[in-house]
Amino acid sequence: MSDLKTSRPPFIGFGLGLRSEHYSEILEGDPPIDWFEVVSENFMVPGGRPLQILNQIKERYPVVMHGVSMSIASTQPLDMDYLTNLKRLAKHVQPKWISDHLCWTGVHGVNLHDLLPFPYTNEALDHIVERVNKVQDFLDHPLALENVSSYVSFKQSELSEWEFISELTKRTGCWLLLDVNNVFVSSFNHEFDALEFINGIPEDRVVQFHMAGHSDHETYIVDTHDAPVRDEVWELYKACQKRFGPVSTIIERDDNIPPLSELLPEIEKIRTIAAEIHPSLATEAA
Amino acid sequence: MSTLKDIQEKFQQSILNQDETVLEEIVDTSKEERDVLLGVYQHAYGARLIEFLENDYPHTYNYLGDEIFQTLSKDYYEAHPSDDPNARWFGRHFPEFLSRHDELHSNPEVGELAHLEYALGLAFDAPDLPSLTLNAFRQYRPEDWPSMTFKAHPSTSRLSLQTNAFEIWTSLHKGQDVVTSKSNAMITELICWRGENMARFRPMSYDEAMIWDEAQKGANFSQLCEMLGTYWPSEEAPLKAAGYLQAWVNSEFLVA
Repeated sequence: MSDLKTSRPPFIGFGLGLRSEHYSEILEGDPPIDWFEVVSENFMVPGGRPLQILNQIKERYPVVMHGVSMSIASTQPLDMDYLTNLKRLAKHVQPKWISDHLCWTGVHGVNLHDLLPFPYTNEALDHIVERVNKVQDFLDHPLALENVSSYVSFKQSELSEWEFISELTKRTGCWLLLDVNNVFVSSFNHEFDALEFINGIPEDRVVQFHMAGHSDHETYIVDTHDAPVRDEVWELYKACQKRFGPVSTIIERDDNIPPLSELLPEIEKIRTIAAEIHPSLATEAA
Repeated sequence: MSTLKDIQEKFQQSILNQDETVLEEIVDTSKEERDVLLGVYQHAYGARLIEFLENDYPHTYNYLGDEIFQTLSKDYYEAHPSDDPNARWFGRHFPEFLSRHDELHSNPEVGELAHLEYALGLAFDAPDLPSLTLNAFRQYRPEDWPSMTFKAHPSTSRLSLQTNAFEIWTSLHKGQDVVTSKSNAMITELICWRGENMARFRPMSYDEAMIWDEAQKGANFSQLCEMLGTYWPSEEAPLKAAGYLQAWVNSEFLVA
């Protein structure tokens, strides 16, 4: 593999998932945000305002491309049209890395537009390893995969989620986007210790954290990304920055999106916590 | 033992058709039963697709109201499961689906309203090809005019409405009381395009619409003038055609 794919992506600070509701606040102001994660599919369009906005953002800030449709765990063939469009966008954007989710989104040509779970079996591992290797070779950019929130577990699973992810990184060299909220949600739903998950992930593979909110349904939690980060997730974030850090982090809000001013304190908080754990960050900022 | 492929097929069937065979692959937790947990995915599927349609067709949603829109959306996604990795294209068949829906036989304005919104969406993120400018247009020699042909910018699309859907769209867009639907005595001709970064509509007169449509089929300026001769005295037709052409160039309807 080329250096671009194998070299560790840089630490780029503390950012936000770019949403259209904030375009004018970002471009007309100068918010204290280090970088933006953009949803790749939102910009995989022929032209017009979306791409103009993206051009303005990428001129001012580092950008990471985050997709939702790679369907890396699907048993249907890789969608080469999708990957070609993704690569074309990456050539234009020059993201620091490209990410997507460790999940599948459909089979038989159907896209369910959801991040679907699968059993953590050796069969699945072999299948996904092969696909990750192909995608990395094709994209020629660092690829990071994100752990998803899940609501069901399969009888056939032979490995824990963290064992599966660890093996995947060892066998492919892919990077990890650790969604701290998703670890919390899945730990509640599947009754495992979130710290065991975190401590089971290789220290040197995590290049990004997501921080987000969720909805509690008493017997299960749904990863809604529509609310402020919960206290329990902040505690996990501290553990993550200690184990893996310093790691680039964003606040990811997908629904019930407030004005930018309401999200800036959360961005400040991810920055402050990381600086408390890694004093060199505070020194660099000063 | 089920393979990954088997499990994914069964899981997908549980979402698309509520076939819960996949439950035999899933475990209960100490807090909740597996069918409830699977239901999170089943519920999220429909809710997400309806949300995509609400975002793409906001005035159609407002016109129909939440309950009817949800019912029609469910009919739609059952008939047209998403087949594109980009949610942007999930609703591309929705206007035609509404136009043909049995329950809307007496409400043809609904399908036309959705067609209007789809055209706006296409204009919004159409390719960024350079438009023909007035300066570039003026470079053509008078002797070249008769054979000139005109290519539409990809952001443009034409609509011919048989109802007052355009008035309904306008009232919804302005937040005014929604006008009562009715069939038009005469067809309303519209063009949709992107100008100054905004997706826009404007009505076209019948003669302008006719020569626009013919120009897009390849008719040259001389032929367009002849066609306008069916509406105007033949000596006025070239001037009329030049006037329309200038308006198209000014509005960025044409590519360079």
